Amino acid sequence: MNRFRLVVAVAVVVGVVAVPSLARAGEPVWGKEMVEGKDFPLPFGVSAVYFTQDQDYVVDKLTPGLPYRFELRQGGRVRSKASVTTLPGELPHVGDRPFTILLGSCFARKNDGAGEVGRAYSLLPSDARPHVKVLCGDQVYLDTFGFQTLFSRTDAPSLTDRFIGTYATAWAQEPGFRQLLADGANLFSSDDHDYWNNAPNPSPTAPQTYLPGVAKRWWAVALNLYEVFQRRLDPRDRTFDIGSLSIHVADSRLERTTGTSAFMSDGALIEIERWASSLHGPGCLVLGQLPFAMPAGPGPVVFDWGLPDFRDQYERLVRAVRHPAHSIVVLTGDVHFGRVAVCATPTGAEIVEVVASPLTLIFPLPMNTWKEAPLAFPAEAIPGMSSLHPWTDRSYNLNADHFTTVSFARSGRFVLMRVLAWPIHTQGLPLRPALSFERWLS
Amino acid sequence: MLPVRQSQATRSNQRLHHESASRAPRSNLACLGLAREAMGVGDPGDVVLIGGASLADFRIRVAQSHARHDLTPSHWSIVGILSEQRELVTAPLWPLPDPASVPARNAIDTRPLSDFDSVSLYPNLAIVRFPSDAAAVLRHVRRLRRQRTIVDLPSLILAWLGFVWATADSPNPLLSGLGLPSAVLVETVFGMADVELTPGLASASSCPEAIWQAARWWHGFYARAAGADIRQGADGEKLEAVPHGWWVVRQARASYVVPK
Repeated sequence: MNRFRLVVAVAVVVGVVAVPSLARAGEPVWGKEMVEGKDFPLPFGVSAVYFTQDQDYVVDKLTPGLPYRFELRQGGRVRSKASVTTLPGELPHVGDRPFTILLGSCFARKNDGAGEVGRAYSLLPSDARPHVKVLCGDQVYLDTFGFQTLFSRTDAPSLTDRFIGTYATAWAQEPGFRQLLADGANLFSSDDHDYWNNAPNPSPTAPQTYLPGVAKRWWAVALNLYEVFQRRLDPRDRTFDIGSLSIHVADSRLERTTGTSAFMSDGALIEIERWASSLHGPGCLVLGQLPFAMPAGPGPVVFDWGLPDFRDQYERLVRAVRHPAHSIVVLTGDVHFGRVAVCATPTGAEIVEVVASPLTLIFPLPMNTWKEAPLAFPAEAIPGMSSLHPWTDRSYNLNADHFTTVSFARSGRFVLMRVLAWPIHTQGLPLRPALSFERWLS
Repeated sequence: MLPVRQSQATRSNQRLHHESASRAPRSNLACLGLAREAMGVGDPGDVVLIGGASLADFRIRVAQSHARHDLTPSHWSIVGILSEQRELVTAPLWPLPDPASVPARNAIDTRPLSDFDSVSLYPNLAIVRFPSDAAAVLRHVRRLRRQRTIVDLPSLILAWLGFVWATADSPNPLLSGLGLPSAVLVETVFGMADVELTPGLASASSCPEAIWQAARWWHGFYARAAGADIRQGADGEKLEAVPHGWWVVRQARASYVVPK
């Protein structure tokens, strides 16, 4: 990764979105001179509380494996800062500092008034600090249930104001979540609450979405803000390699249809199929929801349809990963607990599902209990396909606010994966991993 | 063993001036003056490492042997930051401050340097300047003093006093991920100022030894960072990229003064 996109969307937020591929000709380049801190004109006036405009600055020609710092200055005054470390060119050897991904999902700002997520992140030990962060869904809750969501205005400008306020409150929190966002590159994959519960389908927890016109406006506004703050990854940037490790960041919400016909576009699914069939070493697949899951069932659901509810596409997803030449690690979140499950495949390679959720729990009801992975994959038989049998590491059982670091280091033709779950709340004590899991991948 | 990654450097940091014990002044205050002459260090924001010779210092130095590949005791037992008033900002285990003041200050105390002048009680001394914005570091000290939720230093003091006094069920706190309070203070405020102080440490077990190893052996890490990052202080002045400073070790093998 030698190119980054700095996203300037709110006066006090400079997020860093990782853009793995090489720079493309014709794109703006923010070079070394600006990294050194020269002023540059803001593309918009600085007067409003929140900006509704956004601007990308693409920084390229960077050296692998080095830290870079960025400052947004206006008139000599530093308005915001961010930092990134470029990815290493090769997967480090066992014994060296491993290549590390931070995995997190489900950040409910209203339950983190003290900025505990940012605090926990900033206290990560040096050797565990991530090269890149994967935030795989519900980075904001645009549908927080309450008086304002039930009875507020639903014209597009009102929705825009409300949602920008929600983003700004959550993402500009400092000390707090902004520390996590601004330190290191972010890769985003969306899930329902980045729009509303079970979006784009209407939900009883967001009753206004039963009105087709409102749902359409809500989706359009939320999607627009997703593009502003989180950014849809260009297809060319969804896959990147660190030596023999290949990482593919998919999104199972952005192009989801109403009903249960598709959780992503046909093209996006084809990308996963091609990626899985062309691995030269272990793969890492980011998804907003769990592949090892039971379907929610037919008919309207109170909560959310999962991937297995989309029978046709789920079958293709299962087929894509069930005969891998190399092990595939699925990084996901969504379900409000931490879990690791492993599934052997007929090729001898494994599918390892790592779940990290939530960063901050939105609401304690209904009771959210830790569950083992279903005993079969797929959980409901698919004609013409034999089931595989995942097992769950029962000692990796976490039902608390946390994020996870997943590190990779190579030894010969094997890759050592180490998963550490870091609790958000430590009562002021230094941060220590609550749980760990190790696996050699091939 | 603590999860400490050894630096790949084959040569120690040449920007740390080593003064031989025989040539060093018999006063640590005088050593500070010498360090300023030799290396220009001793300003606010600089890190001071001290190795004590009390029995409590001895136990702390031995506890840090887990952070060393050869398992020998550390030279160091106290770490702090020089304040604008040229005093040492630290989180001491002793002398015990007024217990009522500990929570209000998050156990952070400011001690005159003259308290550490005796070379028989404090035989080892190092002054190190890490590439940092001193004003930001000291600002974060003030913030941490008021914000116990960032890191709760009093709870670490309890754990360490328990270890020093060998109270029941008090194992080496470092092995439980509980850093020495003074080191946690220093590492946290530098971290808040975006300066990595223990790049080799894979746990929260901050200790003076880990900070010393960063200064002595991780200069390549700081140089690489500087290659991509021209750091500036609050006044726009460019900051030196690699840790530099001055040190003397008069008691390499940890020993102790018999308690009175």
